[in-house]
Amino acid sequence: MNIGMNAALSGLLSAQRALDVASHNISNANTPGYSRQRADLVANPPFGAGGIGLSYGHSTGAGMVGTGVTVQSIKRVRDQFIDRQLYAETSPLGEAKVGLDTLNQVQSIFGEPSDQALNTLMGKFWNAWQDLSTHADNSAYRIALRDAGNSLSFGFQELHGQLNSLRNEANERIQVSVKDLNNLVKQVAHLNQEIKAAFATGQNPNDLQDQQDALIEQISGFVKVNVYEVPATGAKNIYLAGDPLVLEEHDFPLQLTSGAGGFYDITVPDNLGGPPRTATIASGSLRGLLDARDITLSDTDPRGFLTQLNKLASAIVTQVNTLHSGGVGLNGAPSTTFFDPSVVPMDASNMAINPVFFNVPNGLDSIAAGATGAGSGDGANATAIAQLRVAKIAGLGNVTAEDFYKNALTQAGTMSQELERRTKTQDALIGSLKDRIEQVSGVSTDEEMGNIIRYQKAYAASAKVLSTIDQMLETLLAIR
Amino acid sequence: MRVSNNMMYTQSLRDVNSNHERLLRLNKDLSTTERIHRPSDDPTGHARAYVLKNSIDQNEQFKKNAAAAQDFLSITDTTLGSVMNILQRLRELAVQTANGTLKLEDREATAKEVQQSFEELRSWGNTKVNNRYIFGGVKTDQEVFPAAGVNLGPNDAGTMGVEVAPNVMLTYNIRGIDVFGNTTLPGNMFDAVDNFYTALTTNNQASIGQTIADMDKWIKTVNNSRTEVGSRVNRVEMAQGRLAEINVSLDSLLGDTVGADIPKTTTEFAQTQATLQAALMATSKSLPMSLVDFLR
Repeated sequence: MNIGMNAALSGLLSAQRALDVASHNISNANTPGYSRQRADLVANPPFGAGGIGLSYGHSTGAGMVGTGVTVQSIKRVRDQFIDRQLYAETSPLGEAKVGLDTLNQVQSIFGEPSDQALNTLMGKFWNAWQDLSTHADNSAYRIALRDAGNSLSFGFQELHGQLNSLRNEANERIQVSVKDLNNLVKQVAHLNQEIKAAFATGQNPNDLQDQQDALIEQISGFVKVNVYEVPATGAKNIYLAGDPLVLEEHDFPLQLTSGAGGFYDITVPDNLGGPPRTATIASGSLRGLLDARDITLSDTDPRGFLTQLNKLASAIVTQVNTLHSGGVGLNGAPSTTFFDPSVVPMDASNMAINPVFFNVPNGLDSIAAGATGAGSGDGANATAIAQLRVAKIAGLGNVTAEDFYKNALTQAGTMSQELERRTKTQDALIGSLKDRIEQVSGVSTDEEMGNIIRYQKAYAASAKVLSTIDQMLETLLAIR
Repeated sequence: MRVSNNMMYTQSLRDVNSNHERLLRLNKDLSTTERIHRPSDDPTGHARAYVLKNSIDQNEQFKKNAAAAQDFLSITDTTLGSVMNILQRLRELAVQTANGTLKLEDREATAKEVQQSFEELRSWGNTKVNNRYIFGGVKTDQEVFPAAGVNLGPNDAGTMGVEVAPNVMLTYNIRGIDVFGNTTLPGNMFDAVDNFYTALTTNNQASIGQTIADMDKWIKTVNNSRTEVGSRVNRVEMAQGRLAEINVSLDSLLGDTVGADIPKTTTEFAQTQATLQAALMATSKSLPMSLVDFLR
């Protein structure tokens, strides 16, 4: 009967423990990254029937007698394989999202199609020359042209300024991201330490591991990493393309060095004591930010929108200036350039018209509408400049200024479209991976309620066994 | 399949969100009746619309140019008409006065009229459009025939052109020299009138006969200029008509390119709306369901 009592007692304790686990699960039903835990119940080792000490009135030779139940372990339910896939897919999503974000902002800055954006400003500029060609002696048209040139210059400057600040913002975000990333890396290393300690004492550090997985997922959003678990210690080592970020309880933070133009380079220390090497950022939001800064918004890379904007501005300035200098103004004097000759070299960042035109009272006379000194009604040079609108410009790859700008817009459009597609597919992929993780590891309160009832009943049943044995003992003791 | 609590939430939310996103896009398409709001909505469509828009803009400018030329030409035409009338009247007077039976006082009256005609011709020669002298060539700001007297400058100061269609230049002014002759040399229109006047005042019969021939010559010259003006007006009008036609078709192309297909978009909107409603309804019913509610 002692065996029965012990078995009933183990039933009570196990049911209690299992209820504890269910309670923990329910409390964490909404905790991000939490994996449901399960109490693994196993039967206690039985006493062999007929063995020593088995003679409590039971019949012998019936076989082994069970000794109850015990909670062998409390484990989290987790499929590490899906986690790996999730890490691998999170980095491209982070990269695509940043890229898309950048291009959407670029498109907003260009603001096309619109009646106020650069394309319209260029059209108005050329049209003002056309108008002047038939009214070369009319100062109202000279004012209109001067203002169209001024608006165009400001338009270019504004675009340049906005794209440039977007670029600087990307640079700042790189700095912040690296700091965030280093912080996450440090936390992973710290958790490794605790996990190792738990492993050493034979514990399952379920919640710590959940936390660590969530951290690694966040890290994967920043940059593509490789994660290896050390089976003996339970620690996770993280590598960035061969360079360690986390080794057991040690973390190796990425470093920022200020490079050209105040732009940060991301470096890792050299193991052999050499100078820091540029970190390999293969994918992730950091890659996206680096690409935004060094390619999409670059003013040196031919693909960069600032490069293209500067090229366009310089081409217009050069072409207009050349023709304008060859013409004659109302004052008959040899003409100046149309754009400010004191600004050299001129590009989108500093584009401005010749300040001479603002001089009172005769500044406008310097606008060279005429081709020869013949007379004030001559608009031949104005026509020639207006016709630049359809001129194929060698410096722009033999396309017109308008087409060059159109191609830049199309580039922004197709790139953005492609990134949007990638973001969507990647988002869907990650959604389904997270669904799979949820399927395996997510808490279902209904399931836990079921478990609670199950263990409650088990507890009640074990208690009943105890009271039954108690009654039996009383019956026995009542014998006189 | 195991379904966890979070799964219910995230999946329902995802579906509702994607419906909202679609509804927002359709809403924008419908409220602007355009389907391209930025290049990435349709990069090739945007590029096409961009080219079409710029072509339309250029053509509008050409129409404006042509209108300016037309103004100039039509004033030139009426001016030439007035010059013509004066010349014809002078010829009539020459024919009348060539008759030897005319009395001296009649000749003096005629001479007065001729003098007046000279001034009229001069003033027509100084006609302005929008404050520009039309016969001065490119010297639009200088009086063409400044004061009485014959030596008024050559009046050959160039032609002025305007682009009325892509790369089509149209000269819109008639040079003074082509109407009145070179006023620095003898034998110009004013010379002829002046000679007539002198002939009348000096009663020079033979010289009056010469005036008839002169007037015939100048009437012919002015007539040629008028024909020239007429043909240019025709060209401008044709060019304008063609530009207007082209712009109509470009406009409709642009509409096809950027315009939202309203019936299709409306249908899609209604569908999305229905889907969203269904999704919201289903979510509102399924999310609150829990075993907890059924346990005592």
